[in-house]
Amino acid sequence: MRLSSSAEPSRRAAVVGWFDERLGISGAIDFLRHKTVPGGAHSAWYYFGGVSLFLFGIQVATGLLLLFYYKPGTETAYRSVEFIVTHVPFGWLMRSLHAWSANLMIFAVFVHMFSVYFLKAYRPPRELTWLTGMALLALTLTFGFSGYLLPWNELAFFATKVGTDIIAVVPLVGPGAARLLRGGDDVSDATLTRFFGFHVAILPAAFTAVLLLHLLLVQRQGMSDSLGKRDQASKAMPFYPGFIIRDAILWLGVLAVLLVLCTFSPWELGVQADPFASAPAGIRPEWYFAFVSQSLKYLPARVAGIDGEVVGICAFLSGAVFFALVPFLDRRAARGSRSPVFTFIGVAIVIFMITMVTLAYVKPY
Amino acid sequence: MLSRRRATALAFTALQLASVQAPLVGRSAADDDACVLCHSELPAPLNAPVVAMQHDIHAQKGLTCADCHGGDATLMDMSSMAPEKGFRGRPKAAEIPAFCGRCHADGAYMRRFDPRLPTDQLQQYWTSVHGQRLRQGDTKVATCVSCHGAHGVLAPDQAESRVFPANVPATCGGCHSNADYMAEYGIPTDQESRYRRSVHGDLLFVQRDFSAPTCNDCHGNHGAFPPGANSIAEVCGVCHANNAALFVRSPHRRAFDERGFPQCVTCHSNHDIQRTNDEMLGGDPKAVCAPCHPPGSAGHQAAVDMRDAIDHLKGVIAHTETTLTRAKQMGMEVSEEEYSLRESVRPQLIMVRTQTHLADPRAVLEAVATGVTAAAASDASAQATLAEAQARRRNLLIPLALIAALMILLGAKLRQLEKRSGDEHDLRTRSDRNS
Repeated sequence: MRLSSSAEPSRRAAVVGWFDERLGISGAIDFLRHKTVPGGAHSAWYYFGGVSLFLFGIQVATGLLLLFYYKPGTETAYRSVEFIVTHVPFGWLMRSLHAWSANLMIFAVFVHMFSVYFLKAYRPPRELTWLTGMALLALTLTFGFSGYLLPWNELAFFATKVGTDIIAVVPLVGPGAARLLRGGDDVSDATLTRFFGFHVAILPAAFTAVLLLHLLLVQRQGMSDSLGKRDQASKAMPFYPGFIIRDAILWLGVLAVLLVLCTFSPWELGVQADPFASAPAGIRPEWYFAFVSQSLKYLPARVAGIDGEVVGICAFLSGAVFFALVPFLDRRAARGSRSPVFTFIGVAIVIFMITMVTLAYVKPY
Repeated sequence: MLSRRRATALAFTALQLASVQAPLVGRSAADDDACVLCHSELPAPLNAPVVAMQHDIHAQKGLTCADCHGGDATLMDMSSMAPEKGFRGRPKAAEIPAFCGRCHADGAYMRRFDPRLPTDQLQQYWTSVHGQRLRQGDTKVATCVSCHGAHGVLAPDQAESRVFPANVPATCGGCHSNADYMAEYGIPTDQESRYRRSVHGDLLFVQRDFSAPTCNDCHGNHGAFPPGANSIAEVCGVCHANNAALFVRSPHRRAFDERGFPQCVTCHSNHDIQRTNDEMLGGDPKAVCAPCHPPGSAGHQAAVDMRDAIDHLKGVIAHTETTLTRAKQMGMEVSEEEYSLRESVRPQLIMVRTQTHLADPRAVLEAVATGVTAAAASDASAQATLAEAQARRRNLLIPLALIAALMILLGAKLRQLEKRSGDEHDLRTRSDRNS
């Protein structure tokens, strides 16, 4: 026993040494040992970036498995998904995991973005981290939009029609963008093929590239301290084991939640889309787009002589641009001072989004 | 006869028109038609035909006023309407069928416009109650113009046409629902209102199914005649072919004919036919069987047996549906089972209901047995789906337990590492202080 216990560290050292000789990992191990992340009252919010990353990993893994059976095309898409959930072993689980984790990922990304916003973690020198984060949010939403159509069911078909109609409203580029997305004047087989291409090839490649850049920037600059807590080194937490193991525990918790959701509320397949049928009642986009579509419903037909929908879309686009440029606009936070105006704007946006999403589900008309 | 004042106006207008140098290019046939030119300038009601003819099918086919009314439309004075010019004028009611039939009964002439057009309307009309009464001198009966209109006749497939399916009940009801107008004939005048309440009326007016039968589908149009008691199954059987075919093979056929019962109408009524239901069959006093088959009779027992068989199949289907609903509520995908139920089992229930028209319990029981077998297959599949849903929930405990154990282990490891790290930090601090 004594022999084996004394032999164990030396064996581990030998394995590490073998890899170090070939890959030079001792530097990385040493780096991880000494890397710290901010601790304190707000540290819980830092985990949402990791949760988003974990859920993206689930997306990739389940998406690859679904690819084995999914057949794009208006004649085959619905039937192939039906086959996956009814005949493929654990196919129901893979499809539900993919759909639920997509929604949880978008939620986690939103929480991550707003926590970064309210902690003013976008202040210099992290402007580029914020901008890459915004790009990741946009790509995540595009992932959601493109993936929603792929089962080719009734809700997805009409929601995509509504969604692409909204895109067409954007001045100048809108009609062209809508036509590019649809592959024609209406949602059709060409749209489904395009969305499939976006969803499984273009978006994953773009997302991975921006994600690597984002992580590189996070690594390069470290995590941001809360305003006024820059010198609280005593509250810092070692990245390993403190942060990474806590992250792993949280990921396991998220996985458990996902499994419960998939088992007790598997993602519905719905009815196959019929492009010639009239739209069923209660059509609305997924919850993460519902705040936009719901807001547009309250706008009058004409605002100052301009089409109300055009005004609404322009307002949302302006809001997105404003949000992306916040690191350059919030000069007080850049100087390390509190910036209550930006906090107030953030709170107003969160309240607005929650209200509109709630209305979309409770009182859509 | 035109009044003197109107004749003067007409002559004046004709003179005026004759003096106008109209352009030769872009002129239509109506521009040169004296009837149109004069009548369009005349006051109502003499100008009404010109307005109505704008959308008339005859005008669209290139026919002019003179084609029906005769006369010479090239003459811009009253001589155009002289009898020697072939002017036939406005036909009297009794003359209308022959007036229209002059073309519509002429196959060679009608082929010019559409070879598919029937040309037996006039012949049929004289066999109708309307035609027969007209020959007897009753000029109140319907003639061609009563249903189609005189000027402004539209093709029957146009929604505004008075003989478009959805407009037929109102067209027929124009006379048949008018109690005063129909008083002398001694027939009911509630057919239209009863039809509107019927399952056929619901299909036509509410669901806008223009293939639903309306007045002319059962009574005929040009040869309109109430179907005889012994031929009703032929009429209903045009659409309800299986029911009618079974009925004519059933013992009811002979029994009804002998007693003068109007076949299908005996159980289903006529104008206000309601959607059928299973309560119509069986031993209940409200069932349509009850008036003829008192309790204790063989017919009563047969009705009870058929109803019991239907209820049994319905029970099996309901059980399968309940299982499928439960599986669906548990988030299971059951569209295949639903499809099987919808496409295999439910049609069999319809078949069983149809089979009752044979009034033979053995045939109904055979059809029920086929339905029960199909339903059992769907039910077994639904039960398997439900069992899988329950198994998934049970089996979830395994990964959840593993995840929980892993979380606890990681938590313990974290605690141990942080404690060791704290101890090392304390040790370093102490040694720093000592040194």
